[in-house]
Amino acid sequence: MNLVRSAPGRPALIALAVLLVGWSLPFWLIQTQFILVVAISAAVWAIAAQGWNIAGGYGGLLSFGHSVYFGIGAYTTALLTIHFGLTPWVGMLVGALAAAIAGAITTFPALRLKGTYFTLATFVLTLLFADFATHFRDFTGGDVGLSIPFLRDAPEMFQFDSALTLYYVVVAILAVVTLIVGLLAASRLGLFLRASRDDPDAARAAGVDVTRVRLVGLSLSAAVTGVAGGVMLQSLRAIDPVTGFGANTAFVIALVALTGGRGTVVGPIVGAAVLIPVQQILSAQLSSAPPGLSGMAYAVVVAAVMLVERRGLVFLIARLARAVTAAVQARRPHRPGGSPAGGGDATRAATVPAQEIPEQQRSGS
Amino acid sequence: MSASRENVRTGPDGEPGLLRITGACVTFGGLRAVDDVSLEVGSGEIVGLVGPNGAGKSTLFGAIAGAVRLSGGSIEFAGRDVTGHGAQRMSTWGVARTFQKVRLFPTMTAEENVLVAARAHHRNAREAHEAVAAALDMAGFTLDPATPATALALADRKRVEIARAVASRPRLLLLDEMLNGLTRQETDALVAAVAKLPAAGITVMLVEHVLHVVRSLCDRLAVLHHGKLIATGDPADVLARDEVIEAWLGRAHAEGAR
Repeated sequence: MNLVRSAPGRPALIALAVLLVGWSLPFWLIQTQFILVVAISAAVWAIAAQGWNIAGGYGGLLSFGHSVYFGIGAYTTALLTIHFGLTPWVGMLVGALAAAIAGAITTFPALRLKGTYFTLATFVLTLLFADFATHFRDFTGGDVGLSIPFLRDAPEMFQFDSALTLYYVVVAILAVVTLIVGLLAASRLGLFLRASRDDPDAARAAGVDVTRVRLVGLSLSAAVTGVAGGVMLQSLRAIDPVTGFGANTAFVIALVALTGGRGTVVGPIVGAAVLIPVQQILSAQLSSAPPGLSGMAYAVVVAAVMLVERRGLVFLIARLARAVTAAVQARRPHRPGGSPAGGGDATRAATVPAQEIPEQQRSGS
Repeated sequence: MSASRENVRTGPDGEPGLLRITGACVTFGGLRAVDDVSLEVGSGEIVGLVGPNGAGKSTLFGAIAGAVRLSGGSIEFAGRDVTGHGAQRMSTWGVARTFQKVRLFPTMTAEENVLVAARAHHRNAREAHEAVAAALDMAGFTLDPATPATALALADRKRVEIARAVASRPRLLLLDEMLNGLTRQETDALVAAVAKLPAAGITVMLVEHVLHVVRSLCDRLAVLHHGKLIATGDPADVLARDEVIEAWLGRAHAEGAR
């Protein structure tokens, strides 16, 4: 099993697995209403992180500002519902478009700023948008934010009879998004994004229009994260500047992808499945503890993953799987005449380091 | 020295010059890395660019490939003024290059590295994949194409880099010290591969230090020293000139040769 490599055809399988595993969870794992709410939240963050991964993972544009696109997606969907009665199913797509336009605009700092400076610029942007959302009170509802009308059991307005139905729908959206991002990663654009991340100069010399690739990549990335914002709005039936545009949102989106394994199709899902429950269960358990303690516990989890395997959980799992396979093979009696087992091991061992991004080339130019 | 006359050459197929560099200058701060270089390369030629370290060879390559800006002069390629255009545009127009220090995409396999160039220069995926196989074959790469770039030995990394350049369907290929650090055997194999390129419609310019290769492979040499072009012409002839020996191998050699 190799979680790391992506080949065409695999995205469909992965998406199907996400759908089936996700839909099966209520039958054996999700037993309480609280866990169900956590699971919905995890699925939403997984969608947002899938979007982040297009630019941040495959494209190497390490953004700590994806809350901007998340918030634009949520606010656009909410405003269209409130003012025009537009169904969120369409509103979310309009939100994605608005987020894509914002993504295209933010590409321009990405063209001028390298690595860390780009990251800083994206972070400053989140602060700016949170201020906008608070300041333009009449339009955005200020600090309180926006609420959408509560309609019981109205699937055409993205509202359902129960949280369980909502969960099934959100998982289905996650599966579709995973399929799209997976196909994108295996496409020409995905290849060019990776080339531009690995070595922009060599990519240009090979004929890749690095600027255009980043523009398209960041726009698509923003669009998918914008969809996540719309889904979050529907699950909360409300959005406010902190949830929509807050620095915490920006960090969670990036950390989910980074902890799971950036530049891999399953990374954002694994990251969300681990981080979000940890974060939310801890904050529920520690609600009587001094404020900030749950945040610290959460930070410890992220730091631990980064220390053990900085490329993320997917790579850690792949490493463990290899170790187990190697141990099993070592226990088998050696066959005479040179078995291919040794050569096979060497090939597999070589597969994962290929994904290693050398430090000096991690930041694009 | 008026080099302009003997620089004007046509290729074996009688086409006019593919590349025409006129009075090219590149300055870094106060340093003139390339100083008033005029050079013409005909279609189908293999031209060696030689000279001591720091003579401006790689900088001139960078300028031709669109990665380094000229501070003066002009470059014409395939009858079009390409002065000031960037690396991606030059690639589209048919200039490919390798780097002095091999630069593969480290997170990709050998095949994917070549595929990047192939997909940028071929209409559809099927054609691109065929081009990848052909380019790897042409460069003499015989390992599993799915081998990660970081797991390759130097000679194979160079082969992949050359294949990547070839997969971009170039008319002009710039090879920067491709033989550096290779064994005699690996050198011979790569030289044989490069010798076949003109037949495939690829004109070659190479920066090289290995003398016997320069002598046997190149149709013509251009010698750079302190950024200036000090000699061009037939390899045996150029390498026998005093000023070339002095610039390249040092005064002691020049005196010893006398």
